[in-house]
Amino acid sequence: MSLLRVDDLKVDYLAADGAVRAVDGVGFTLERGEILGLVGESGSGKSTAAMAVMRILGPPALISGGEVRYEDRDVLGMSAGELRRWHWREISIVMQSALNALNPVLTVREHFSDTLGAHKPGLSKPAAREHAAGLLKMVDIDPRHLGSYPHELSGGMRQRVVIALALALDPPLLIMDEPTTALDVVVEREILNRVLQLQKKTGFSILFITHDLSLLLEFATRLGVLYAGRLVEIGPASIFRNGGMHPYTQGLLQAVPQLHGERGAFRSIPGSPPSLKNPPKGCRFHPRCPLAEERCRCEQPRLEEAAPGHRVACHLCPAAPR
Amino acid sequence: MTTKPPLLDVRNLGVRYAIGGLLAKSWLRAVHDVHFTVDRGEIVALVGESGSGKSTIVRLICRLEKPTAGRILLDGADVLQEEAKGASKEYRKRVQMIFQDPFGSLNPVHTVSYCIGRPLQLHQTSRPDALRRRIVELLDTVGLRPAGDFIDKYPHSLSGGQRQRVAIARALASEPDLICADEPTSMLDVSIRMDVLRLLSRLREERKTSFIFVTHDLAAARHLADRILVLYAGQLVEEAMSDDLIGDPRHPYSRLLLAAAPQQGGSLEASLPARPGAPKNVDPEPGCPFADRCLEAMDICRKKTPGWTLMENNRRVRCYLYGDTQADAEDAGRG
Repeated sequence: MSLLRVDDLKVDYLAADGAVRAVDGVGFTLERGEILGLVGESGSGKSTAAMAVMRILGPPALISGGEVRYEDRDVLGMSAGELRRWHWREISIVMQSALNALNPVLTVREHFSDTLGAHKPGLSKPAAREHAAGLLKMVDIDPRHLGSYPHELSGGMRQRVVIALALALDPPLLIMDEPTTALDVVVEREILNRVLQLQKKTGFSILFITHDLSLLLEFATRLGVLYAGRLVEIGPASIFRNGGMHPYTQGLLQAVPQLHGERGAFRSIPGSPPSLKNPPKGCRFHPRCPLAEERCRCEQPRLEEAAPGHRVACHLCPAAPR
Repeated sequence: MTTKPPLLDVRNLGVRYAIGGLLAKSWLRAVHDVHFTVDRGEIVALVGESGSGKSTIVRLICRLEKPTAGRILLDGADVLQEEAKGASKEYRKRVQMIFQDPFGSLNPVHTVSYCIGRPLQLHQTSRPDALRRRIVELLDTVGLRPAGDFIDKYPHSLSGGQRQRVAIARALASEPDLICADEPTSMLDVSIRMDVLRLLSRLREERKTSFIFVTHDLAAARHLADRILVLYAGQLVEEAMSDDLIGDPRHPYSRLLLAAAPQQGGSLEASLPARPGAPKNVDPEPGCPFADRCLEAMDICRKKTPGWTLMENNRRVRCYLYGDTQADAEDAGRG
């Protein structure tokens, strides 16, 4: 049984002039100990999908269809109480902006004691303090910062604190939503390097959301590519290291400037991502696709298996023989 | 034959801010002892992490802020001295800026034609028919075609990439010699970033406009710029031709930046060639600003700021690993 299974997930944002479907039929599985990367541009629905999976979306967002299963449990059917017990203990999230994730009037220690107090009521105060100090050390922060307020820490340190908090109860699944986008490349690498070490040691699964495909290629086990609310390709990372199969994936991989190879080759995908209010008919990528045919303009391609474990939603990609 | 002075010549540029109260006054040294030149038609990249002073340097060059030390020479003329009260209209016409955030840099209550028309009215023409024609030409130049579809729109109805193109057209309106582009692509979607870089590259080819390209993305700097300047804690630490710098970074900080950049075949598990840490800009101590993080730091690195070591192919490095050919740069700057 997969740790997490998402099927045909649909999320709408309700607006005065009609609903906007931000996530449209997204499905994937996440196995134990795996790092699944979801990559997409702004508005592709990657963060919305992650938050819907965790059931932390509020109005005007509405989960209007699909199924989310955590082990054998139906997440979309969970009551508030069940969600409260599920959150943090079994699934936790690290968001992009650590400054907003931390309460400015609480010290780092109070953040830990709040969390531990709510989810592990039996823990004594000294034990909680020791646990918090250990968690900080785990992310390379000196425990003397337990007394610090968020504004006294640098951006990188704040994000480390948020990661330590997310891991406080050893959840089997960690969602990381653009956790290092606001940080410098050097700090980003230091932090992710540490997260990977911890992941190797304790074996939790990570659902990693980002717009940075080249970063994901360096550590994800599997990758899914989202475009305008739909999953267009998902498969093992090796497929993407070799260029991917969907024209959007290929374009995205080529649009990232490289440190080596031909200089001054400015490859990009023409046009810009579509508005979800009025998405293109057929394949949503067809107005920007160099290979688009008549069929792509009217018929929506389904996500079909191109090879075992590798699925692509494109009329032009050869399907695996059945 | 007399040699022409470079278009822009920045010498010992520095700015510091007083922070703290009366009793505990400290100085934040944002930019210190920076000197470099930009030739006509050249693209120079300023690369560094946040807080390295790269944005401050272009703000000083665009004269949005006053430096507390140093000189800025445009075509050999010392503009800070000659225009002591603030930049002249002529300077504003010749040096323009593109800001990072196209959502913040365009006034939401004005149309595209107003945004681009204002600098035209100020610096070029105010005849209505000529104005309209120039606006259409500029929109066409930056790839917003057909121009009629964009000219009467408001910024909110444009995508991020389109907005940044409007901002570029606005910067081009006065036909400047130098454009400072402060992270012009970092707020844009990955799939359209290269479009904007290609546009800047084309403008350089067609108009011989010079650019200072501020970025934290070494790969983007390599593609667009002829030369790369690496900044750490407000100081330049290395300058080299783009391919030389990427192919063989010499300063330990340049090497760290390169090792941290995502690249094909790279792995996050590889360790970085430096200790974690942050630049110290407040009341800095003498010595190399990178010494605390450098794995190769020697005693002298913490005592005295290294001077420039000049190397082949117009490369210069400020690091004792490559000798100490010049006197302490700080002293030289005062002389």
